[in-house]
Amino acid sequence: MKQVPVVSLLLAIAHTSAGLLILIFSSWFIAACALMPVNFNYMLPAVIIRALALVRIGAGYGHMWLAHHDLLGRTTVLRSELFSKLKDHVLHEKAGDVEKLAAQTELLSSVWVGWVAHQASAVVLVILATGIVTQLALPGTLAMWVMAGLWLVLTLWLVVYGLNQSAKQTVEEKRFRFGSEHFFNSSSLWHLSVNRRNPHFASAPGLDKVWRYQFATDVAGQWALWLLHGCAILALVALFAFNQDKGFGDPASLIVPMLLLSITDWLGRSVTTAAHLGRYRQAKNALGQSGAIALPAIHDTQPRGQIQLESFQAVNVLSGIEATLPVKGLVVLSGPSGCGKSSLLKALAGLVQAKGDLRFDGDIVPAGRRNGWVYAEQSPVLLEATLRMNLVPDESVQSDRALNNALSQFGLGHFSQLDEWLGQGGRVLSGGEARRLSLSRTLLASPKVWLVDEPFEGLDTGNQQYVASGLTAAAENALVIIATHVTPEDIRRCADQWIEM
Amino acid sequence: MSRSLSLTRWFQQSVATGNPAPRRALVALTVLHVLRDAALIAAYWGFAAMVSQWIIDGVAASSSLLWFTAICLTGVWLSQGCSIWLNHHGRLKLLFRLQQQLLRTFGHQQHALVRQHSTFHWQTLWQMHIPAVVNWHFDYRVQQLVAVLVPLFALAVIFSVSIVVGGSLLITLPIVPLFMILVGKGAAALHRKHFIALERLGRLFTDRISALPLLAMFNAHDAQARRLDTAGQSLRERTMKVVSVAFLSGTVLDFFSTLAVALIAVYIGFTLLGEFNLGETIDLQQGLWLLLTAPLLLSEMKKLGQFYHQKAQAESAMEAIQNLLQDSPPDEAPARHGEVPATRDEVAPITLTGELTRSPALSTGTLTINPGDWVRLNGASGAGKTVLMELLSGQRPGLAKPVSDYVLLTQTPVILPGTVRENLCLAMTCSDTQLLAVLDSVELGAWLSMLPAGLDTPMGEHPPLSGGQAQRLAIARLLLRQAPVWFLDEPTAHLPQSQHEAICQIIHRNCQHATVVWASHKPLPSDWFSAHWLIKDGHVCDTASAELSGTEGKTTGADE
Repeated sequence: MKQVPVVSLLLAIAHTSAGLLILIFSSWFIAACALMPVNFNYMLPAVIIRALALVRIGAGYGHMWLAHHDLLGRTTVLRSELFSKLKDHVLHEKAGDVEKLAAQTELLSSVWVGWVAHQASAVVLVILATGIVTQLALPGTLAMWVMAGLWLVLTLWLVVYGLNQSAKQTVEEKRFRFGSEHFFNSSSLWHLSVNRRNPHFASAPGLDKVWRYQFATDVAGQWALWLLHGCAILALVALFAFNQDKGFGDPASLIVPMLLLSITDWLGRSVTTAAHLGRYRQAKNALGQSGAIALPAIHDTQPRGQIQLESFQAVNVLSGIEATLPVKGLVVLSGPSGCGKSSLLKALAGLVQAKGDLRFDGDIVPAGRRNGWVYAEQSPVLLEATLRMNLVPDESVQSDRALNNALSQFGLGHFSQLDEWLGQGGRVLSGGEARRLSLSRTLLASPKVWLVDEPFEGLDTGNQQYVASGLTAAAENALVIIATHVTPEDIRRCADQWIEM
Repeated sequence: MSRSLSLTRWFQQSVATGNPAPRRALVALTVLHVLRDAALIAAYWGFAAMVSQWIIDGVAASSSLLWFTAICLTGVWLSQGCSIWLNHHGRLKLLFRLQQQLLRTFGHQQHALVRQHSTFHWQTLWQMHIPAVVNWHFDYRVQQLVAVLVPLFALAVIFSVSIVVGGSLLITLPIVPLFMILVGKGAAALHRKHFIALERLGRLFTDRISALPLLAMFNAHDAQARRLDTAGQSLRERTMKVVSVAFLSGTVLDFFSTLAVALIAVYIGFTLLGEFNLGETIDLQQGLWLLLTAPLLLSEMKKLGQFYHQKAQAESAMEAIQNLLQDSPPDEAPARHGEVPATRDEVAPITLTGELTRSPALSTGTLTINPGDWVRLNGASGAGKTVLMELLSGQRPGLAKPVSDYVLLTQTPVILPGTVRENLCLAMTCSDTQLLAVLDSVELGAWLSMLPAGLDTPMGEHPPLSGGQAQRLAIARLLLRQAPVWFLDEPTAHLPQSQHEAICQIIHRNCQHATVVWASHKPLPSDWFSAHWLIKDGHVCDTASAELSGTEGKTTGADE
C-alpha cells in the first residue's frame, strides 16, 4: 500500500517522453534529410522514429493498465484499513456520509495516476529538455532555462494555492451539507415563509462558494498554463528576432523552437493538474477523522438470578428508571414514543453510554456490551448478501436445518433458498419480512437477553402474530425485553412483567 | 447516438428553457476553439518557413515572416485566454441560474416534492447532478463539435500541400472511430457479463459500513472484514478484465496519432532525400508544417475521450432532474424578501370539480369548501388524502386558484436545532407575550418553565421533548401565523391515545374560526365537522350528501 508504483510511473514517464522525443527527433530528421549531408545514414533515424512510436504506444497502454490495477488495489487496502479501524465503532452518520467515505478512498488511491504521474513526467521532461539543450549549446538555451524556472515557480504556487482552496472548499461543503440537511428536513415548514406571492427562500443553503473554490482550483491551472504559453511565444519570437548567426545550417538548432512551440503539449497536463493535490490531501484528512464513536467495552459478567436497574438509562435521557428483571421471561416496556424506551434498550445492549447503576444478583456491574445480549432494532438493517449471510453474519458454522428452523420460528418457513441474494438485484423484502428476518437472525445468535425495539409497529395483524409467537417461544429460555406501544393480545397474555415508562 | 440527442433535447427543453445564454456560450466557445486551431495552423506555416530559413538558407528569420508568426501565435494565445474566461464565467453563471431554478421549484412544490425522496437524494441532485449537466454542456458539447470541425479543416489544408499525406490521413481517419466503436462494444459486452458481480462487489463497502452496529452486535466484524478483502480482490480482477479492453480505445487513438507522425516523418524525410518519388516535391518548410499539423487531426478527438465520462454523468443527472429545473410560470406578484403582505387574501370558497390529478388519479363530482368549514377527510392510507391537501394548497400543481394563505401540520413535527423562540418565530418577529400566550394555549407553559433558559433554550440535535410535546410546539408555531386555513395531515398518527385526544382538543379549541381540512385515521368527534369527505378508488365524495341522496351511499360507506 505505502509502496511507490515504480513500474507504472516509469511507464508514464516513458510514454510522455517518447511522445515529445518523437516530435523533436522527427523534425530534426526531416531537416537533416533536407540538408542531405554526405554519409548521412538515414536508415538508423528512421528506425529510431518507428521504435519510439512503438515505445509510446506500448508504454501508454502499460501505464494505464498498471496504474488502474494499482489504484484498485490501493482502494481495497484503504477500505480494509478503514473498516478495521471502525471495528466496535459506530458512525454518527448524516445522509450520504458513508458514500462520501467510499468516494474518498477512491480519490485518495488515484493520487498516483492523477497527480504524481503527471508531475513526475514533467520533471523528467524538463530536466531532459534543458539538459540536452545545454549540452549541445543550442541557440535559445537561455530561453529554455527561463521556461524551466517559470514552470517550477508556477507549479509550486499552484500546489500551495490548490491546498488552500481545497481546504476552504471542504469547509464550505460541510456547511452546505449541514445546512441542507436541516433545510430539507424542515420542508414541511417552508410554506410558513415561502408562498406563491413570495417564492424566494430568505436563507436557503447554497453551493455558490463551493463552486467558486472548486473552479478556482481548475481555472488557476488553466491560467497558469496560459501564462506559460504566452511566455513561450514571447521567447520563441525573441529567439527568431535576435538570433542572427548562431546554429544556421545545423538541423539540431530547431530543437529549442520546437520545444517552445509545443510547450502546452508536454507541460499541459502537469500544470493543469498541479493544483489538484489539495483534493487528495482533503480526502486523506477526511479518512483520518471519519467521526466514528467507540462503543462501550465488552464485559464478561452475566446475571444468574436477577437484574436490577437503579436510575438506569442512556446518558442523553433525563431521568433513569428503577426495575428488577428476571433472567428468563417476557418483559414488556410500554409508554408513548419519545419516552426513552429505545434508549434504555440500547443502554442495556451497550450500544450507547449508560448512567445509573446496573446490578446483577445485587452486585454492581459496569454497563457495556455483553455476549449474548442482543438488540434487535426497529427498522432492521439487512446486508446486501445472501440470506445465509444475513442470518449468520459472523459466518459461524450452522446447519441448514438450524437456519430453516429459525426462519420458521418467525413464520418465514417459505424462505427455503438460503443462498438467495437479498437486496438490490435480488429478493426485496417487505418491512414485515425484514423485521421477522432480523428476529430469526437474533434467534440464531442464541441470546441470553433479547432487547427488541418496537417489533409490532407498522405490521399488520398476521405479521404481528408471527412475531408475538416467536418472541413468546424465545422467552421460555431467555429474557426477552420488548419495548412497544402496540401490544397484541398474545403479548398481553404472556407478559411476565410490565414496565410502564 | 439517440441517447445523446435526447440529452441535448432535454437540455434545451427542460434546463435552458427561454435562456439563450448557454447556447450562445456553446457557439462562442466552439468558434473560438476553431479560430485558435486555424491560427495555430497558420502559425505553423510561418514557423516552418523561419526554421527553413535558418537551416537551409543559413540566414536569420525575415521580419515579415516573424511578424506573421508572432501575430498568429498571439491570436492563438488570445483566443485561448478568451475561451478560458468565457468557459469559467459561463459555467458559474449557468450553475447559479440552475441553482435558483431548483430553489424556485422547491418554493413552489415544497413538502409535496421533497417528501418523495431522501435528503441524500436532494443533496446529490444539487451537489453532483447540476454540475454534471453544466460540465457536459461546457466541455463535452464544445469538444464534440470541435472534434469534427478541426480535423476537416486541417485535412483540407493538408491536401492543398501534399496529396499523398492528405490521402493517407483521409483513409485512416474513419478507421479510428470504427476501431473505437468496436472496442467500446467489446468493453460494454464484457461489462454486461460481469455486471451483477461488479455492482454487488462495488456496493459491498458502503453496505457494510452502514451496518456497523449490526456487525458489532453479532460479533461479525472480522468475518465481514475478511469478506471485504476477498471482495476487493475479486472486484479488481473483474474490473481489470473490463478496463483492459476499454483502454484499447485510448490506445487506438494513440497508435494512429503516433504512427501518423512517425510515418509522415519517414515519408517526408525519404522524399526530401529522393529515396521516395510519388510525384510530389516537398521542401523542408512544407514537410515540417505537415509534421506539425497532422497531429491536430487526432488530438481533438483524444481530448473528447477525456471528457467522455461527462456524458454518462449528464445522462444520470437527466434521469434524476427530469423537469425539476424547468422555468416555472412567473410568480403572480413578485414581493421582496421577507416582506409581509399588508393585506391578507380574502378567503374565497374553494370548489373542486371533475378530474383533479392524473398521477395518482383523483377526481370528484363537485365539492365546495366555504370559509369556516371543518372538513374531515377519510380514506385508507395511500388513498390520496395527502395528495388532495397538497393540491388544495398548491404544492401540487393542478388547481387554478389554490389556497394561498394556509398552514399545514404533518404527522412528523419538525423541531429545528435553534432556540424555542427561533422554532416558533422562524422568519417572523413576535413579542414574548405572544409566544407565552401560544405556548399556554397548547399547554406547554409548564414545560417552558422547566427549561433552563426559557424561550432562549436551544433545542439541539436531540430536543428535550416527547413526541406529543413536539407536536404541540409545532401547533403553537402555526397558531402564531393566524392563518385562515388549516390543513391537518394525520397530526396524531404516531401518538398514543391519550396524547391524541389532548392534542385534538387543543386544535379544536384554537381553530374554531378557521377553515380546517383534517385527515385522520383515529376517531374524532363527528359533530366538530361540517363535512365528511371520503377518498376511495381515486374518487373524492361527500359522504353526508351521498347518504342524503341515497344513491352513492352504499358503494362509498365511511371506513371507520
